[in-house]
Amino acid sequence: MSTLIVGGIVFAILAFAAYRTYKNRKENPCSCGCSGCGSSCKK
Amino acid sequence: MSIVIALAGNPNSGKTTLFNDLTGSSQYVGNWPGVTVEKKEGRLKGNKEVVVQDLPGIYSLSPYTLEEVVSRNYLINERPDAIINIVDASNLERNLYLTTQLMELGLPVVVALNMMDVVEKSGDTINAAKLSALLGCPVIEVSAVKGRGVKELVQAAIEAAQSKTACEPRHLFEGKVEESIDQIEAILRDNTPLSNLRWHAVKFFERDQSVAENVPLPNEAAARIESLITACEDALDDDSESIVTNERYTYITKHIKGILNKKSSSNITTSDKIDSIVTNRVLALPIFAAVMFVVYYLSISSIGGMMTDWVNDALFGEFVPGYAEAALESLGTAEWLNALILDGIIGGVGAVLGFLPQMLVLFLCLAILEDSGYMARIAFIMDRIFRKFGLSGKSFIPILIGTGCGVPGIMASRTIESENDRRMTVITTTFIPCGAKLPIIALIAGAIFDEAVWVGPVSYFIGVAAIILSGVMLKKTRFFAGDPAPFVMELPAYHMPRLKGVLLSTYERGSAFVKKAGTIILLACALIWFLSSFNGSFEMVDAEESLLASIGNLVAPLFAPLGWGNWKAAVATFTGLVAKENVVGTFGILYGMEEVAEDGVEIWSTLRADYTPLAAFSFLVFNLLCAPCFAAIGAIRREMVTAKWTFIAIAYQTSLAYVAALIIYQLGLAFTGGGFTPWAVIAAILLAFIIYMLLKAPYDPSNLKGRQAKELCQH
Repeated sequence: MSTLIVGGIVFAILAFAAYRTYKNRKENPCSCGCSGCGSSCKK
Repeated sequence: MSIVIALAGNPNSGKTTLFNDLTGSSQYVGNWPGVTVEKKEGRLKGNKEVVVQDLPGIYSLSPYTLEEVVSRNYLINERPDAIINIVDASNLERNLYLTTQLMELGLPVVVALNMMDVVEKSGDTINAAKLSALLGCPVIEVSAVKGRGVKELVQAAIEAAQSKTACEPRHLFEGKVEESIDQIEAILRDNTPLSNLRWHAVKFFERDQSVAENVPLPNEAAARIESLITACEDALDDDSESIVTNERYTYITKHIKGILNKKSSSNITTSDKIDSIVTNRVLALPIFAAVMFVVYYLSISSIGGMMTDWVNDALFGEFVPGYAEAALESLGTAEWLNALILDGIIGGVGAVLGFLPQMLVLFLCLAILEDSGYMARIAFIMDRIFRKFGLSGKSFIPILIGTGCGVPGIMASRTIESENDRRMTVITTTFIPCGAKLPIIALIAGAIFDEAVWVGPVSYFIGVAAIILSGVMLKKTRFFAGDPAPFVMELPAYHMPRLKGVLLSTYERGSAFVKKAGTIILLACALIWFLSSFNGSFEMVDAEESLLASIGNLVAPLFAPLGWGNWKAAVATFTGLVAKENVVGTFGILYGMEEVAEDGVEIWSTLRADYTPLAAFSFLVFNLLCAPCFAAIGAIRREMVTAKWTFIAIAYQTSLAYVAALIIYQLGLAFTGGGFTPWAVIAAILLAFIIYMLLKAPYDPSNLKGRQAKELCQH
């Protein structure tokens, strides 16, 4: 049971990280995520 | 209905600082011209109906470079509801040149006299009311850095936008010129419905082709305009563009006398005095080298090193894994889940985050250098060296920006007019170590070289050397041949770094690094852990029998001549393509950082056992120079436009990295008595080829014949 709960939390965190990565790439296609290149730019 | 306000002004006049102030954004602000190369949009704080557009800096509405085209096209085609013209009040005359052009666009304009704090400090005064009367638009005194006058400025801009009353362009030109422009205006009025007739008339007078192409005129009208221009040119004995430029400056000089009162007649400022030493022909380079040595010494070896040791040894070495393991044991979770959390996530992400203190110190030092005005001098100093090799110092601005991150560095290459120089700059920009490469430098310095002080500065100078050597070699090929573009750069005045600005810049870069560690690096670490823990049948196995080892062993022989042909180093290099920090994260997982910490053994000692100092240095050089992360490759693709040039860039970077690492390792091995292999012969031949390329005569297009020469001329 504890494996299920902890595993669920870990995979939820990983899923959120994947979503944030995808969102960042979509919004800033030429950004690596740092403040220097966090500006929006068109594809 | 929303209101659109555009921020327009000269480069480095404070547009982005004002933009951040107005919108609450945190766009990167650099203390040198050419930082903003794309327009950026934000909404006004407290009034989301107002859209603010930050435009790249322009000196005039006659664009020469790509980012200047962005600004002009926006102002002409998109026609914002109002323009805030940010004027650097400490350089009033030069900045008003653009103002005289903006007034002709037929849009409401509000002039923001920025940097008034600098003007007041120098004892000079500007009569804003008189300037407003002269220009025929509101003039507001502001200090974007201190937030002074910003509310009044916004209010004036909103009122101007709502009134929809365009500024009445002042007739700046004298006699014959004004007469010709009036007549061109009349011809245009008869033939085409244009809202900003005055501006179009002036542009037609200047023979601006890009404007003329968009305004179709009957042949007869075009011929009449041409005859008017020719008559004026004959009368004034100058070309029409120069006539207009001279007239504008004459107008400004004539009227500014009663507006700007200078306290001191002396032209020697404190900045000039500092520059006489810092940019001195003899002292400039040693000072630059000393400054960068101190920066890397502080960030990697001393302050940053001490803090990183604590974070690595205590926080991510004992505290976090210790508590996490105890918690997982008490919960009785499955072994694979414990391994994922402890070895994959804590081991991988913790290894990367361990270098955060060093990165923060580096970002702090760079922010201080930048805000003080010294960074801009480095481009000036490098121009002297670059020029000797046929390169332009203009290429160094993207490289300076690249010390933070390669992506904006690559994008900043747009400020370079020459296509050849621009492509060459895109190829070489990522040779300079970006923030993400610092953990790799710090890892090698700490794990292999006992935190030797020379590793950091040497890594930086290897980047600079790779840029110079590449520039010299590439310039001798027909793809990049040509005279260096002239480099004129306005050096910002020195000032004491502002604590708030420096800390904010450091915080933003640091927090972005943490966010990156929590997203893409976390994902990469989980994937690497999975691949290094399971085999093809999805059974948990030792790393040496894992899927990752199988993949790594396929590519590892490629790197054997460089001295690090084991699969772990090969895999780390490839994961660096996702984000350079992943090189460290991968080592953290594969060398069992978490297990090492449990044993109480010094962190990274297992890594040291696998690499000789020479092999580790070769690994460092390869990873500093090889293809950058995917985000930067994407930026290269965007700037190069074609897949062919993107491929050339990546192939060149990777080849140079391979050759440099091969020479270092093989010749290093031969000279230190480590052995002489056939690879050493190849390394010697490659070194000889590089020397030949450096000494070779410059490429001469006149030697070409026929089609090849024609193609080059067209290019």
